[in-house]
Amino acid sequence: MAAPVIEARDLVTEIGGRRIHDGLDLRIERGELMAIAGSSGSGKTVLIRALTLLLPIAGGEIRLFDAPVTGLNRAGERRLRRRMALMFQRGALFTGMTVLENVMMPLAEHTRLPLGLRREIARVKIRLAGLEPDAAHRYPGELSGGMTKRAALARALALDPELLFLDEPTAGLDPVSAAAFDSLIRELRDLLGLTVVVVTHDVDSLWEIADSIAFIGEGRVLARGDAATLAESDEPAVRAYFSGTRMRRGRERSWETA
Amino acid sequence: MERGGRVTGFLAFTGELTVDVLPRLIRPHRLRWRAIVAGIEQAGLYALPIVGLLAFLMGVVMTYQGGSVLRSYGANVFLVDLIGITMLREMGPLLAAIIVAGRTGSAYAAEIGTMQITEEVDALRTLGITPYEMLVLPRVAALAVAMPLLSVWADAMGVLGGMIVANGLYDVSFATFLDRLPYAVPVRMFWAGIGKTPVFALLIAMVGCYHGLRVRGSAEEVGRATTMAVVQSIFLVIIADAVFSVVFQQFGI
Ligand SMILES: Nc1ncnc2c1ncn2[C@@H]1O[C@H](COP(=O)(O)OP(=O)(O)OP(=O)(O)O)[C@@H](O)[C@H]1O
Ligand SMILES: [Mg+2]
Repeated sequence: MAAPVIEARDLVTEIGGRRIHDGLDLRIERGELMAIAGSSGSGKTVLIRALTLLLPIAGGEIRLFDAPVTGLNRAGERRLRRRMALMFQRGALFTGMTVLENVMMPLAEHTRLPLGLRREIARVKIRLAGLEPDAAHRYPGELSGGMTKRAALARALALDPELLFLDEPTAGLDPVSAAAFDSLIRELRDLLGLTVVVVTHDVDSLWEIADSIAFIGEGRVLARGDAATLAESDEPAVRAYFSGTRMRRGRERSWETA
Repeated sequence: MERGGRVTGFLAFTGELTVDVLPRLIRPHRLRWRAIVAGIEQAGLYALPIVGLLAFLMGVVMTYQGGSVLRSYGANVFLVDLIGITMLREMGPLLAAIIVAGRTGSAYAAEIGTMQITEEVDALRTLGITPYEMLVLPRVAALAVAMPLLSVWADAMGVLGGMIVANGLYDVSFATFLDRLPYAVPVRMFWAGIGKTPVFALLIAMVGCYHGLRVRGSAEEVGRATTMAVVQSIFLVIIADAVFSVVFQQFGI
C-alpha cells in the first residue's frame, strides 16, 4: 500500500497553554478528498495550521509526503511548502496587491518564469477559480465575500500543489456558488490528482464530495468514514451532528441525485 | 514578570531576526530592493517637510532664548557655537529620531499588526517566506538609510532657523555665522551626531516590527501595539543617546 500523503500520530497541540488536540491520529491517502467536520471551536482550523506547519506542535509526529516535518532546514521547508497550499478561512489575501498580483506572488517566489508567463498563468488560475477576468485588477478590499474565497482559491492553486488544504471554502456562499465550488474542487481532484483536505460545515459538501469524513471532537478524531457511516456512529456527539434535521435533508437530497 | 517576559520576547525576536537575516546579507541581490526603496521614500522623503519644519522652529526658539542671555554679555557671536553644537550633536538627530518613531515606528507596528490579524503573515509563511525576510528586513534597512539623511536635513534646517534669528535680532550676519561655524563646531561633532542615527533607526524599526508581529487576535491589539511601539522606541532612543554621550565623553569626542 502506498504511503499516505499526511500522517499524524499522537498529535498534541496547545495554544496559550490550552490543549486543543490530545493524541490525534490521522491518515490521508494520495488522491483522497477528505473532509474535516466538527462543531465550532473543536479545533479544525488549529489542526490545519499544525498540518501546514504554521503552528509548532507540542507533541506527537507529523509526516507529509512520507517524510517527517521536524528538523527541516530552510531549503527543505521551502521545497515542502511548494508542494502544498492552504486556502485560509478568511482569505488572507495580501491587501496591498491586486487579485492578479496576489496570484502571481507564489509564482514569483518559487519559479523563475518570465513576468508575462506568470501573468498568463495567474489569469488561468483566476478563471479556473471562477472569478470574472475584470476582478483581477481589484484590491482585496473591493471584493465580496464570495469573490474573496475564489481569489484565495486561485492563489492556492497558483503553483499546482499536490496537497491542498481548504478551510471552510463554501461558508457564506450562496447555495448555487457553493455547489459550483464543490464540483470545482471535485473536478480538480479528479483532473490533477490532488489530495484535498477540506474543513466544512456544509451539509451538501459532506454528503456529496467527500470520500471520507474525519469528525474532530474532544481533541481527537472521534470517527472516520463516509457520512452514512458517521450517522450510525457509536459516539453520541458524532451521531447527533450527522442525524440532525439539516443533515437528514442533505442525505435525502444526495439519494435523490444518486 | 510581565516586564521580564517582554524583555526576553524582544531578545528572542532579535535573535531570530539575526539568524534569519545574516545568511541573506551574503547574497544582496536576493534582498527585496523594491520594498527597501519604497520604504526609504515613505520613511525619509515624505518625512522631510515635518522634520524640516520642526528642526527649523527648534533652531529659532533656541537662538531666541539663548541670544537674550548672550547679548547681555555682549557675546552675540557665540550664538554660532550654541546653535551649531546643540543642533548638530544632539537636537538634530534626536528630533529626527523622535519624529520617525512617532511617524514610522508606529506605522510599522500597525501595518504588521494588521497583517497578523488578516493572516497575511501566515499566508506568507505558507509560501515559504519568513516575516523577517519580507516585512522586517526591508523596513529596518530602509530606516537605517533614511534616518541619517533625515538627521542631516534636521541639522541644516535647525542651523538655518538659528541663522535667521541671529541675523534679525542679534546682529550676527549670515556671513559671520557661516565663517565662524567651522571653528565653533569641529567636523567630528557633526559625525558624532550622525553616527548615532543608524542605531536609533535600528531601535525604532525593530521595536515597531516586534510589536506588530506580537499582535494576536483583535483590532484593539493593533492600537495597543502601536502605542507600545512609539513609547518604547522613544524611551530606548533617549537611553541610547545618553549612553552615546557617556561613551563619546570617555573617548573625548
Ligand atoms: N489564536 C488563538 N488564540 C487563542 N485561542 C485560540 C486561537 N486560535 C484558536 N483558539 C482556540 O482553539 C480552539 C479551536 O479553534 P479553531 O479555530 O480550530 O476552531 P474551528 O474548529 O476551526 O471552529 P470554526 O468551525 O468555528 O472555524 C477554540 O477553542 C479557540 O478558542
Ligand atoms: Mg475554523
